[in-house]
Amino acid sequence: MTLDDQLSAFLGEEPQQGRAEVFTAEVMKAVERRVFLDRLAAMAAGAVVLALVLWAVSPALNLMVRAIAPSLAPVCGGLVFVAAIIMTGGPQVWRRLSIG
Amino acid sequence: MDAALVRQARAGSQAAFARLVAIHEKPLRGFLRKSGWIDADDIAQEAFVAAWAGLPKLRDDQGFRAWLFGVAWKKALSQRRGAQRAAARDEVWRGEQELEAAKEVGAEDRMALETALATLPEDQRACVTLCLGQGWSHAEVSDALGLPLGTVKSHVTRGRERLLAVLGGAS
Repeated sequence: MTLDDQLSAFLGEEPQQGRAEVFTAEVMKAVERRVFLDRLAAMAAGAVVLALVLWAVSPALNLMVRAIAPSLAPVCGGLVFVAAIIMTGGPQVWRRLSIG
Repeated sequence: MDAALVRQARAGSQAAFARLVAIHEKPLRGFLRKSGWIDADDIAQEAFVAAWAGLPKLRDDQGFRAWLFGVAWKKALSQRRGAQRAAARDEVWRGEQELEAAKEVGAEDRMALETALATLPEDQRACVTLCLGQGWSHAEVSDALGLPLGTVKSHVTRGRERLLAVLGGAS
């Protein structure tokens, strides 16, 4: 074996196999965290933009809600009544209340 | 091989990126360790995360390896220039960072080489490690480390001479 071969072998030494999988897992965990934070930042930015848009058009929204609210009131009342019956009349509710 | 995985990773596949990490982590950590960075694993991990974020900027998918090593090298240099990193590392951690010793090199030669390698300037050490240890071409090293091609060639020639002199003397 030549000195060059020995030198190459020494310089080409790599970390032990034992830690390789742990290292890859650690990197991927850091990548996932990065992806999550990026998504969170994008969603926060989207929410801010949406809030600004809604704030800007709030006078028009107010007028619209005021115009359609009277006609929707009976429907909403009916829906609330149905929801109340479902919630109180369901067998799960009786079971949780230990009545049934 | 790399190019296909890079394309998939760029499209958002974490599994493809995990494959790239598995392929390149050992050579990268070995390179950083041989180049004298005690916190080689931390630097390598940060380089991989930076590579993930920077994949859209990579122009040549086939050149992922050189680009990744370049990212790691810049990270290593900037960390040294920046705030002092935690200096004290316990012995267990150091043990985990140890390299798989090549059987071709005796204990005495190893000590002599490690001492000589530590005395080389860091650019020279990096060039020697990549060209002679990992079989990279001069052009690839020049691309990865951002050094002129002529500088890489002279670093390799001079570094090799110094290390061989030590090796010859120790044997």
